Amino acid sequence: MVDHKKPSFRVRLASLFSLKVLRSLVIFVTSLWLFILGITLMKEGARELGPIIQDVFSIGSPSSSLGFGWLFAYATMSGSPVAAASLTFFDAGIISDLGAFTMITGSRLGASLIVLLIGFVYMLRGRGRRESLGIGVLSLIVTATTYGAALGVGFAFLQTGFLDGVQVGGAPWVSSVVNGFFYPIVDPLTQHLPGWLVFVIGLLVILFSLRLFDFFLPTVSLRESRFGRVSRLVYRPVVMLLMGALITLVSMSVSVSISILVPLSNRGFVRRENIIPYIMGANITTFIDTLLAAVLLQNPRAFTVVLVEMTSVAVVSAVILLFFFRRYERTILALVDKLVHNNLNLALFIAVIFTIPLLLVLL
Amino acid sequence: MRILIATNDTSHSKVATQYGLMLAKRTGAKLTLMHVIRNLDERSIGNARLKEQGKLARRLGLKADLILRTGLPAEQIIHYAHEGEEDLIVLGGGSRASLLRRTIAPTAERVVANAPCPVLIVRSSRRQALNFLILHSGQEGLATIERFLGHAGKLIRKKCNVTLLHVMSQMGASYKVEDWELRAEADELIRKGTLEGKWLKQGMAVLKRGRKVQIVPKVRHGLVIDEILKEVEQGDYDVVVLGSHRKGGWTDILMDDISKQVIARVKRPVLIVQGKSG
Repeated sequence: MVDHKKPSFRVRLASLFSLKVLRSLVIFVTSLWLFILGITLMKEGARELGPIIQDVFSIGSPSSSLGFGWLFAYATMSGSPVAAASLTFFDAGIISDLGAFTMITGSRLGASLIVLLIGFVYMLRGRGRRESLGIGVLSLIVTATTYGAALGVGFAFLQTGFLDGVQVGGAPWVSSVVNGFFYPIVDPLTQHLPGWLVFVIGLLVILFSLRLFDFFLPTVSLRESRFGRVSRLVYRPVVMLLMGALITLVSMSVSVSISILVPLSNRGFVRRENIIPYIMGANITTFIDTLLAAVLLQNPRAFTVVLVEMTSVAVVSAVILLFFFRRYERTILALVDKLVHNNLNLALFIAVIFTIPLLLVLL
Repeated sequence: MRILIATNDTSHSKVATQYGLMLAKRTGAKLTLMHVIRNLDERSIGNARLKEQGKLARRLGLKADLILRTGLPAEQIIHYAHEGEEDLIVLGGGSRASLLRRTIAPTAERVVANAPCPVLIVRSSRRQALNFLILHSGQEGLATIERFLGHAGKLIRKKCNVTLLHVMSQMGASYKVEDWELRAEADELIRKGTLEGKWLKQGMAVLKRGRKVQIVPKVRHGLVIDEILKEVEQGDYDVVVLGSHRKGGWTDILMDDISKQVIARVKRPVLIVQGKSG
């Protein structure tokens, strides 16, 4: 006789949970596979792209590659693909290590625009200027000030070879994995398509892989979690820095980690005291995917460049946090208040963040 | 109510003694005057100081127990406060804490962290204790007010004015939030029943219980410490009352303690109410 008894609630919950886990695992593996495919395509495409980039954009100097990375990130609305592109340019000999370093910096400066754009969308939906754009402008200014100072520190690190001893990238297994799993797809494309198109396809694949990775993140479950108290309490700055660093390390994206902060705070508020160190932390570990890209390129110097970027941002953040955080915090928040105070200030600010990278590219 | 005035040889101790005596007179509290010396060689100086303070108390018509102790000031004060079941410890605040002093935790900070009752730190001379600024921290604010009233409720009497302040340092981070809350005054928040409004309403109800005092709810928007300092500057407050975290373990490591910054930067008498340990 067949038993028609329904499975218990616990059994159904367990099967539902395992399905969710399986789905997340498939998404994670697919996004990682696509990321590696994208890097491999960009690497191959960049070799032929070199003369075009040098002729059209003239990104020979570190300052022009800074501006180029900045504008490129505006165009792609994301920093990670641009940072990966800078490594492929460096790998192909189009730009120097210093150029790659400044282009990665530019990519992160440009990527902060996305938080501001989300704010504009909120504003168009009828919210106040100050409330909509506050976090976006804050994120941009914190990023600009820390990365600006980190440029100098990183330059010194690269010139003195401070981190040259730490190099990863020549692992043979990486080479065999890439050759075995990806070149059967990459080779036909490079044979039949022009290099620039292969590069663009690679860029799009990376963009898609990062979007796909966002689906893997359990943002919904965070909404009801005990982290909901985060908005109501004032934490030590170093705790928020570590939290920002950790969440970005897992999510591999600053914009995602800042978006995560919203469901973390169950009323949609974040505290002024907490947000700046959180953004600082996020800005350090956001390079984790670029570090992965450097390993995949099997270029030890590219790995050093990314490590210098991470270290210099971490050093600058630590100095601010240890020695003049409260003054920095007040100055930045006062500046944000002034910038979002009226339309004229805001328009000037927008003009500045577009003019600076343009000037850097043109000069 | 029992008040313990603990002193050493600093000028702030004299100011603290005068203020503590004024409070004892007003509340009719049982008074203990305590002087801590570092070693037995200082015994004669210690006794002389205690005699002077005893005279001051007698001049105001107060009876006081005089206690001389030897050892580390913070340890002796905390130990005696436990023994004597004190309701309020009055201390001199010392100078504005330098980086070194903050690192080695001065007496006042140690007493605040471990005392069994509220601690009043007096740094500058005030003639009265009529205008109170009570800081409502939100989540744990009500418990702070309850503990303050439980120990030192007699300080708030008929003629007192109480301002109940809550600082909102939040920024909107989602389009789903209500913008007006980030600009609203206390009355509006209370009227519309927001979370902060409810906190203030509950705080006022507890403060009014059995007392005929005027209570003004207030909300400020900005960085917590900055807004507290601005409010203290703008209002003519005699005493600032606030809570301090003292949960032990991870909470102490993770949380920023606003009370330490207030102690270091506010020159008026600051009354710290500790959180429950545990």
